[in-house]
Amino acid sequence: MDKGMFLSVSIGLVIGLLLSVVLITVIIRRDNSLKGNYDERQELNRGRAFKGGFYTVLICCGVIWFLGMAKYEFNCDAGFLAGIAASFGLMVYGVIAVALDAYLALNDRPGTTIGCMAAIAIVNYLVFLMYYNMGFVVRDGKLTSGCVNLMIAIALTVILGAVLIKRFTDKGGGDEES
Amino acid sequence: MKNLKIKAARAGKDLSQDDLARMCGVSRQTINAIEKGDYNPTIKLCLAICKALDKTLNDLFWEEN
Repeated sequence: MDKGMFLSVSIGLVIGLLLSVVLITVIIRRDNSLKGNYDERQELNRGRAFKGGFYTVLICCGVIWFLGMAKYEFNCDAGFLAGIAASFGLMVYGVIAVALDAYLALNDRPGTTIGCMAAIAIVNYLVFLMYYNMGFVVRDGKLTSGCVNLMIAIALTVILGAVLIKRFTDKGGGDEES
Repeated sequence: MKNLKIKAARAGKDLSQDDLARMCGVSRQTINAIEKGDYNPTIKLCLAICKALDKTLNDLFWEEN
């Protein structure tokens, strides 16, 4: 990664992190409290989701390490591989948490949260397209960490899909009170 | 095992799962899971449910063999 690309990626990351903090603290949380208010069952299920995400990252790293030991020639750089492991972990955590009703805190507004997630996913897709047009995605025939935005966008899209499916099935009466 | 006692007590007070959840400070899905027997609440939540429904722990959670 050259100096210009490194600077672009760093600035993009800082802006993304700041935007996320602003979205979470100002828009999503109803009472502006930074800490999500989860009930005891949600805390338990979030622990299960974290465990799933952790083992996913561990397995991804293990597979990458094993292939590296077997002298497998990766057509990508280390940042891309790390991004894959992190994105898979994020995706598994999100999907398990959604499936177990532990993704949204009690003080989260579902509509706003879904809207923000969609906006962040779209921004990541756009950043990936920008990197692609600037030629940051493929260098010397290898995929670079410029693909991380695409991976995060895909992970968020999958989580968003899980949230929408969960809301649809809940409204369908399967989990509603009788 | 389903907890029909909570469901009956809730219906007796004309409360929805969402109403009871708000009174106890938990999500509707948690109340649903307790009523369906999918989740065993802590004693703290049991007490909150009892207070919200004006019942005792025996009324709602004790099971005769």
